Amino acid sequence: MDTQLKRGFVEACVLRVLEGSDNYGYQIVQDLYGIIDVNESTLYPILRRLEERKCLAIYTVEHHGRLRRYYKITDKGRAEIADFLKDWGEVMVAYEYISGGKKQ
Amino acid sequence: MSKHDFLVILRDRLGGLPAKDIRDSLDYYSSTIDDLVESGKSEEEAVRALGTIDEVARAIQSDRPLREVMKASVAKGRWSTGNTTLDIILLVLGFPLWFPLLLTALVLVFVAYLFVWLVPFLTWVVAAAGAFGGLWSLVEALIGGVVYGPLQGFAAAGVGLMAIGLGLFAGIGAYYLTKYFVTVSAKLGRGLKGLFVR
Repeated sequence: MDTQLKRGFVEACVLRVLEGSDNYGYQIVQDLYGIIDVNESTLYPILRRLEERKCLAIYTVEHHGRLRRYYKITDKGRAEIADFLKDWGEVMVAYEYISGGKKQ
Repeated sequence: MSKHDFLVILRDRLGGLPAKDIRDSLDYYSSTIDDLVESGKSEEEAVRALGTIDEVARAIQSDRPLREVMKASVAKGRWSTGNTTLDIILLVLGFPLWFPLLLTALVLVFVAYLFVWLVPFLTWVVAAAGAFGGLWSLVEALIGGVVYGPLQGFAAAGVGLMAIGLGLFAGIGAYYLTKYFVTVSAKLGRGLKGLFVR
């Protein structure tokens, strides 16, 4: 898959995970296992970009004597999921047509 | 590799990025390694699961601006002794050596661009020459036809049409060549960036 395209999908997937509940890096990767190919290393720049765009907020929680960073979706992040679904809804109409699923 | 070693090497690799970025990424990877260990992996396995240091550093730098990545690459020690005073002394002493080398490199890059763009440029020149020459020949054909008779006039008109045709062909060629060379120079530019980003 095209890198830019995939990046957009991973971002939307991460936001979707966080929409369910606040989460931390390792668990986000686990939740997305089998859905989209992302690992702990490739996830980091994605989380950073989402944070820079204010789509998520970070807070730390003490866990077994160390600090664990949790990511929390913001309203802007929720709005991005909505935008993503709207854009891809339009793309899917064209996809159906191209793949022959729906005759125009 | 132990978690400690991994973080030390990674910090070294990220050298020139803003301190906040380095701290932030080290926090993330440290905490992620702990989580992997908690899930039942050994420390070694946890570090291995993150990929090589190169991959990790590249992932961190992937969305940083080129300016910062270059700083990181310089500070990482590829072009530095690690001692600022010594660096400056070497920079000054080495001036007669590195300045001509740098100049040569810049001139080479410039010549490479020039060379790449010469081909479409010449094609455009041929196209323009054909078009203008042809049009002029047609004007001459009218004048020549009146002054020297119809035979000369027809000959000049024929030459003019041929030149216009040639110009049109060259123009089409030039258009596609330009498009092609735009991508080639973009690749050259990316190649230059690759010297710093790897």
